[in-house]
Amino acid sequence: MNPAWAQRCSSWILAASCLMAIFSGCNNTPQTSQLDLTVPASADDPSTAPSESSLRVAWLAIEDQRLDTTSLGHIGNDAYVAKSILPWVNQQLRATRGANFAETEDPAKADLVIKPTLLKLYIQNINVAKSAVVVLRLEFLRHGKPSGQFICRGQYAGMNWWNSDEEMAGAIQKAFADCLLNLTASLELNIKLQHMESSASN
Amino acid sequence: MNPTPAQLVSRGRSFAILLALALTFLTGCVGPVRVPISSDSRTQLGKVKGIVGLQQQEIGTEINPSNVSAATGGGLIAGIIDMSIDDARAKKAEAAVKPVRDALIDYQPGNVLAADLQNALDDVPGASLSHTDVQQVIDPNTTAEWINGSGGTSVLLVTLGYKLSADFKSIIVSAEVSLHPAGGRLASVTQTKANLPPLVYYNMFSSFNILPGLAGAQSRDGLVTLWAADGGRQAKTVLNAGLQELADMIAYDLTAPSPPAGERYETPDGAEKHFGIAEYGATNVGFQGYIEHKADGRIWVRLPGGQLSSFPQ
Repeated sequence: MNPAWAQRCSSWILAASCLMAIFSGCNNTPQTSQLDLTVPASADDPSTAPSESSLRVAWLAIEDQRLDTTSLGHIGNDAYVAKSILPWVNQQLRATRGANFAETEDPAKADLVIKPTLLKLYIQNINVAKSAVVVLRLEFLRHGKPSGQFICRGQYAGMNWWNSDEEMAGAIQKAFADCLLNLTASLELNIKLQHMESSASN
Repeated sequence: MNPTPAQLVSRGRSFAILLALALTFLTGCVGPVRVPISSDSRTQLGKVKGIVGLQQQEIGTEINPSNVSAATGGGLIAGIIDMSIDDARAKKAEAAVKPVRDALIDYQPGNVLAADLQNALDDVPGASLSHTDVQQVIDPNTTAEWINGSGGTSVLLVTLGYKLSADFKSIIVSAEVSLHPAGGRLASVTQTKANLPPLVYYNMFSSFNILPGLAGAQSRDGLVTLWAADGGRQAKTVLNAGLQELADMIAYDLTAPSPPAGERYETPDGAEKHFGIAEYGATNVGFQGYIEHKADGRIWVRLPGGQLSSFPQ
């Protein structure tokens, strides 16, 4: 054999062996992991502290419309589940802060009542990447009457490095954070429009 | 000395040829995927209920995997480059698909397929369904638990997948289907597949559907706009058609003939050969099959393993 080719072959075999050694640690047996999505409540951010004239927002109890309330999806052969997601989602929603709105406990005293519905919450893989998605439907009530709805979608995609539980929980949390950013922006816009409308009518 | 571009291409070609040869050799050794059911067994199933299982919560995406490793003859660096390109492509696909997913937010493909199956199987002796449930596949044990917990009722399990193709021009719906006799029945003819309970029928199906009216080159964003327009009308129309076709293919396949046990599905004399790539969930299968059925501008292709895939004619 040509020595150059022999050298190339041996390098190739060495690289392949290294890869096999690395990936032999991966367990191909399907596993089900229970993820812990709970995180400490976020501290108030003074930059978005509500002003005194803020809109009072009340959240109604969240409804879960997923086909199964424990499933969080699949990455390859592995399945991910989490029980009691709703308290975590509720906590995250109620912790949402904006410059023009603040939470109030009593819907009767609220300027805006929001009924959230959890539509989707899952992780999946696309080739070597993982993708997490959270979708909420928010129905707005003003003075007890429906005044529109908003589909709030959050998403995170990134390389699936280790397939670890922490990595998957982190991906879902990032997707939820993205969802909350969209939610905050939409609420702020909604409130500005309302202020403009009321100024015009005055 | 560094290889010239011509050497790299030549090396890539050699590697691809070797890989193709290895795959051809290996696929030739594998037995059929399909487990056919005899008419005798069908009539002994008793009451049959359908279960449509969904692993996903929304329409999936896929990417064309990077080929740097194959083109350069492999190696760790090339592998890392491939991974990084695939990661970037996946991120772009997931970001691009959002408007389609939003348009389909209230669309329930499981329910659509359940209704289609109920109708399509009405005319299949012994396999008409008493009712069909739609459930989420939670983990690898879920389906076995459903089947084992079905009491005296046989179960037709249909695990559904649906996704946009990598170029966003098509929607592919696919199903893995198995038929499980109620406890103890037909014990002498049952077989096993993966982690499923004993079964008397098994096959895989896919239906490949192109965006209607697609003409000329379109950007991915342009295609997304077309799929999602008017509350996702095109996406829903194509999904409905694909799911209806899946149900029809399943009904057809439950009575379709098969070669002698253990033999693969060779092209019969006079049948038209068809080459292509069939996709079942996350698995893509390059194949040479034959056309078994033609109607309404569609062809149903039987793969060597017995799987049935549908394409536009």
